[in-house]
Amino acid sequence: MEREALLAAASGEPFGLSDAPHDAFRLAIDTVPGLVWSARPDGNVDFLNQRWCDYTGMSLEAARGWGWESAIAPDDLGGLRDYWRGLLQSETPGEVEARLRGADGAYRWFLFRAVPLRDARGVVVRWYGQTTDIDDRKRASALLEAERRLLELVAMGDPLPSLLDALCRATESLEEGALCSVLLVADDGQHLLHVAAPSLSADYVSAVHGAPVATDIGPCGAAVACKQVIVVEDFDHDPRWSADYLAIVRRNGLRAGWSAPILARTGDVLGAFAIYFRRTGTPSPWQSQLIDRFTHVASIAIERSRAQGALQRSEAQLAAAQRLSATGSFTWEPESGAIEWSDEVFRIYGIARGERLDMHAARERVHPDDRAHFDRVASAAVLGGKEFEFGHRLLLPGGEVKHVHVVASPRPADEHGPRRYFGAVRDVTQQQQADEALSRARAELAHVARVTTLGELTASIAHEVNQPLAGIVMNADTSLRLLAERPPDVAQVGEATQRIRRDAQRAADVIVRLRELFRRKASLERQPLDLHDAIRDVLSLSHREFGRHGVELQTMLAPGRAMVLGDRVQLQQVVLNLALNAVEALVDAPTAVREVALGTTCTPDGLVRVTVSDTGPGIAAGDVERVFTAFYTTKRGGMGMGLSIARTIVESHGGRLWAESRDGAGGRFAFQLPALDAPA
Amino acid sequence: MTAPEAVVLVVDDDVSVREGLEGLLRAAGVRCELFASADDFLAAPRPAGPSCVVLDVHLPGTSGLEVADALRRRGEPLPVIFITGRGTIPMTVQAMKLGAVEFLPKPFGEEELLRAIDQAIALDVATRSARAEREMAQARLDRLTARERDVLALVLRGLLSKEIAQQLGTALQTVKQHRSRIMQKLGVRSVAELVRLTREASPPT
Repeated sequence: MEREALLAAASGEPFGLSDAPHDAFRLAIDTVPGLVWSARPDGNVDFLNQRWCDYTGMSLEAARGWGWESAIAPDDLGGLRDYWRGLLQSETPGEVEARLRGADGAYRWFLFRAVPLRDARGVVVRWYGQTTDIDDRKRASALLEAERRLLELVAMGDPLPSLLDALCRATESLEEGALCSVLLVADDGQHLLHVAAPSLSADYVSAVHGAPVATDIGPCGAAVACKQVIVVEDFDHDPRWSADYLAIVRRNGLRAGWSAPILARTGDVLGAFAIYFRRTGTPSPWQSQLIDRFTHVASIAIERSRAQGALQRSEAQLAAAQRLSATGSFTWEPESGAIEWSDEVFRIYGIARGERLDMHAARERVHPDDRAHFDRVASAAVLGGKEFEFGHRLLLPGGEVKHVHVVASPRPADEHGPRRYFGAVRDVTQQQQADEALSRARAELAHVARVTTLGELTASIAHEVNQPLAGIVMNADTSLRLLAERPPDVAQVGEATQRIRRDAQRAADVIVRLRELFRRKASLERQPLDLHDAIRDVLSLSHREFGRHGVELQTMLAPGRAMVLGDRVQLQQVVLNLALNAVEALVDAPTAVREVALGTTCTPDGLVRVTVSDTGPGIAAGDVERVFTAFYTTKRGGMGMGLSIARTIVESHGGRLWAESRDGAGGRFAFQLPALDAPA
Repeated sequence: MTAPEAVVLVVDDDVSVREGLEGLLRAAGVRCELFASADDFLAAPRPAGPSCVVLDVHLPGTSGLEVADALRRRGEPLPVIFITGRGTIPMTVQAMKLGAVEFLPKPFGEEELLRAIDQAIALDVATRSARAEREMAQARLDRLTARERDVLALVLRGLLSKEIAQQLGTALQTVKQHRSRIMQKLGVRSVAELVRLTREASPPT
């Protein structure tokens, strides 16, 4: 047929057909997989194919004209009608979505498409249309969209309750009449707690909240207990549930309930996702898919939230620990100079979080006197890439000085980044201050002990001063006598005066030595000194103490000097203490030989050892440690601090002081100090 | 002034004291000998003339007190002046018991020292002359025969010649001869003198 003829026919009958039902073309139109229709130029539908009628359950007669409108979802009808009229007016092709009621009464989404057929003059002679079922696609995309939104919330770190609430609401909007809830297994693993249930009644929520995990307390309890999807088609005809639970369900008008366990990746049950309806029913494949997908989203959200909670707790713990220990951590990329600091490092350095941070900013805080050292360590780290550990001071803008201790070890470049240091900064200011206070207190105590010891020596020291004074007096008398002679014996006066000078110098030396020993010092003064010289000085002040008690002193110093680094006065105090203890040990001793031997040796391993032995009763093997405890004493007037302080002094010099039990051969104390390599 | 031959012995381990004493004594015209230790002093020979010792109490090894004790045991009547850098009362008491002339705490003045030295030397001179007399008396007594000593003992007990003859179982005349020989040998004229001499010779108990 020519096109003209066809157009003429089409303007008469739809598809140019008569009503003849057996027409082959009609058969084809009724068979195509789609709802096909045609309408007159004024919009009146004059044909609907058999599939259309089958789907809607309407007869052709009922649907013709505008009768088909009754199959459109009431919510969508207005829009559809307006759109269709617009097309009629503009005479252009178009498409619109609307829900169409099937013969079973359920609405499904359809795409309504219409195109006009024009004659040679361009006049619309007829409209042809096809209505396609897009319900599955539309649901799928709505589900996808909801899922995407929820995952977005998960990614943004939305709090779990609000996220699960959104999940319930999304389900409810996708599934008409659905009432959703999410319950989580409590920490004890035995109970269920509601986290989200936006549309269920407060009565239901509170009645189920805290219910035990059990197979008879609703589909949620059963889903968690059995780790599988539980479907209740109709609560009224389901024997699985307890009377209490059924009472709650009935009270709230719920008829059907489906619940799926929310599983962690490890397979553990985290909770349950549930959908209730006020009508009976079982999940359609679509609904099963929805439950499956959202349960999965819920599992991601819960696990993520737990991981994040754990991370936050761990971070909070770390921050608290750093705060408490005044220790901050940092990373440093030597090549780029990039630095990352923990909160505690910011606090230690007195820099506000968020300020620009680099090596320069960190160096600014270093005490000017320590910057050279800081620079050396930093450049060695850049070049050498070794572990480093050092202490330096910080000078804060307010003038506050802090002592910090820095340790860091390098990690070579890898896929995570370039070579960098991981380190810790500890604020040791308080410790430093405590150390200094302790050191001051020790010095004070040592001083008191020294003065006490010197007190025992008063008689000997007086003698030491009186000797040269006696000489001076006698020489002065001599001089006077010689000068009174006529003529005066000037030569002899000169000799006497020389002796006066010598004796006065000698007295002055004693005073100097004494003053040194009495001096109060704030702290240890370390300098190179000859231990032999120090020992001789002490003995010159105390040697009469030996004679006074009828004790013979044998001095056996190693040849040459014995250089050590230390505080002369404190080391002399130790020697004096040991020497006087040895004398003391002999005072009441019944032994025939009353001898104290003081000797030094320089050991091959670089130590100077001083031993003080006596021929007294000795020290019982069990007491060799006890004698060093504070307030332990065998002396009548002793305070029992001497040896304890002596040991502290020696140890603060990096040495060791000990007592030896010599099995009847008398007592022996010894101490050793690292020798200082010095030219002999 | 002390007799020119007197010698002061100084024992002190301290060089200031030793040399100070030396200078002072020399300027005062007193001869002295110096010792740095007790052992040196005890080993040294004693001067012939009058002397005394200035002794430091606190000598290393053998102390000054021990030195004084040793002198006494040896029967050396050397007067001792103790000097000390730190004297205590018990020490002073002990020193005095040992017969010290003086106990001088250091430092001391020249007057105290020289006075003490004078005193000590005078004591030594007296001791020495007493000893000399005793030795002389003893020497005379040593010249008597055994029979004469027997007679002397009975004379000293106040017996008459007749009683002595009776007791010894000899003739009165013989006793009288003995008595006359005794008086002659001892160079005494009366019984009173005889008693004094024999007392001198016997050392005090």
